[in-house]
Amino acid sequence: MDKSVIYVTTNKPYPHLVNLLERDDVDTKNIFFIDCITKQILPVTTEPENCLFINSPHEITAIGIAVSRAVEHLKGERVLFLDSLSTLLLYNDEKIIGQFSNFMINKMLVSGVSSIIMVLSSDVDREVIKQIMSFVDEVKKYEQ
Amino acid sequence: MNNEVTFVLRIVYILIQLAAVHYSYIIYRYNRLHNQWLAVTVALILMACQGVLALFAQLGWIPGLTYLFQVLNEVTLPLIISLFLLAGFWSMKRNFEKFDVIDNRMRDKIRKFNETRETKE
Repeated sequence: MDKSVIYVTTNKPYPHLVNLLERDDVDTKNIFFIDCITKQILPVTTEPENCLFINSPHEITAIGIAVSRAVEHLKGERVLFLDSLSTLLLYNDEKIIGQFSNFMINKMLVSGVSSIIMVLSSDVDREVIKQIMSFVDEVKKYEQ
Repeated sequence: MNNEVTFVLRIVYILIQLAAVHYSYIIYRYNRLHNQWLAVTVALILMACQGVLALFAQLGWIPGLTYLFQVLNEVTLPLIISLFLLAGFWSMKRNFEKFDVIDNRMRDKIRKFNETRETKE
């Protein structure tokens, strides 16, 4: 079985994201989306099969529950892609995001899940991001 | 009961209430899911205020202790406190039900997602 990806999006709605990925020839059949933004824009919308809508990036506990369940029940090799911590920081306290990230990173470690966490370069100097960077294995910088 | 003992107990009560206010606010801040959760914090603040009023009354710092004060401290405030507690806990219950819904929906969706992938392969 191929790798399965848990894609947590906090800044691009599911339909737009799927269009972008398909335009770049990315096969989305192995991606399960946790979309934290669409319901804020379109409260009444049909949920696709490979996606769970969370009401808002504010709902950090709900995001945690959804990711945990996905990690527990998805089959095969799993990868978590979180896009992005910068958006979560817009909606939540730094301390909460620090605790959430620490919990998530360690949960993924013990579950054998690889994690990729995106953050804007403009946020790299924030204290909470520095702390999170201290407990990840690798930090990579990408130019847009 | 001895006046000094009730005085000490009232102070302990106020301190415990303040600690409860602190922790209930931390619980609210941890999630910030719904502002209604703050109703519990407000209720606990009012309970602390009730304790302070009773302490002032005992110390004789409220001149001309009236029937109105008695009604306020023994009927009105407890009623308002109960209403705030009810609103806060009702809101919490709704949120915890929502967590349960997310949990179940996620299990269901992942099961279907796994089945679809297996079928396609």
